[in-house]
Amino acid sequence: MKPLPEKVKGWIGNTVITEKNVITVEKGLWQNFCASVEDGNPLYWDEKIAKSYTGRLIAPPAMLPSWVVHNEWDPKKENLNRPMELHFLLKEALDLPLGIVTNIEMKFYEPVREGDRISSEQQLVEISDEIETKLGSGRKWNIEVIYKNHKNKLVGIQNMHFLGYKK
Amino acid sequence: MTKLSLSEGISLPELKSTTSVKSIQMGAITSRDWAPLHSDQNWATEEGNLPDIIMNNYTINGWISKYLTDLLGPSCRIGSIQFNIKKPICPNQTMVFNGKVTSKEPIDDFRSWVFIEITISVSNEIATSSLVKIAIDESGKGTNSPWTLDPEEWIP
Repeated sequence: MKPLPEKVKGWIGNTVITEKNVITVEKGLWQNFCASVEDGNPLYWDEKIAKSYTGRLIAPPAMLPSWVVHNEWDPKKENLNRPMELHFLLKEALDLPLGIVTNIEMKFYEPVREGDRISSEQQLVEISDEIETKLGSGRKWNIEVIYKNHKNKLVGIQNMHFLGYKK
Repeated sequence: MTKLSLSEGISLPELKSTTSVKSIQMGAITSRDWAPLHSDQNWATEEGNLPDIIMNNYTINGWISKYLTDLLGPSCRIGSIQFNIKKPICPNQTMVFNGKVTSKEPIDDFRSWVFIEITISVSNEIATSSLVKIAIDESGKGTNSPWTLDPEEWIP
């Protein structure tokens, strides 16, 4: 069994990747997503109805991670992080070129609204010893992402469980 | 106040929806997921060793949320969602959503947490299983929306 690289050991329990000011939340973006899943919840579409529940329109919670994903091309930025950059760093550090998501958990706190700018912190919670699976040999890991709005209020916590492997 | 009575053990009405290449691509692109296995059929089959493009996890999450809020109305508030992807969902497949209330617990005198198991089946096999924790108004008057809970009372 290969030992865990020191660099990876140092990531456990720590914030490795931080994203800030990626994009500004806009209702046009979230309504495109709602259309793709045929979600007519008036909290995402109807100002009058939303006012009586959430004060004003809110974004669908399923889109929370989307607000910290960079465009693939940006006129002012280079070397943009990939979505869930820490997962890719782990695959590279461990020489495990393939990876799948096995389990996802999301908790939602303050709703996300138009004009919000969401930041995120990716932490490596735990990583397994080497294992053999039907897909190949590899390791399992759990990344926790903490999302806050530009007022530093907690908007969500995501836990993603991955299997990284090679054939 | 919700459109549906949610007592422990009750099953939710079934929902069916058939996917297409366009709907899976739309879900991926509008959720800002640029990975080619969700939008590029050539990449998915030739590089990804997949039968076709597959629905991304944000879109699955969006469909589960839509299934619940279509039934329960805007007063219900999703606290958390946990799901396992067991099989990929591809174009031209009919997704069948089923839900069952597994347990409830009070938040206060007027509002409850409801735990609902939801499955998405494709070709009679479970593609995704999930557990969703939602808060509902049980006052019967519609005056105690969980959206009005103070942040310190909201523990999803």
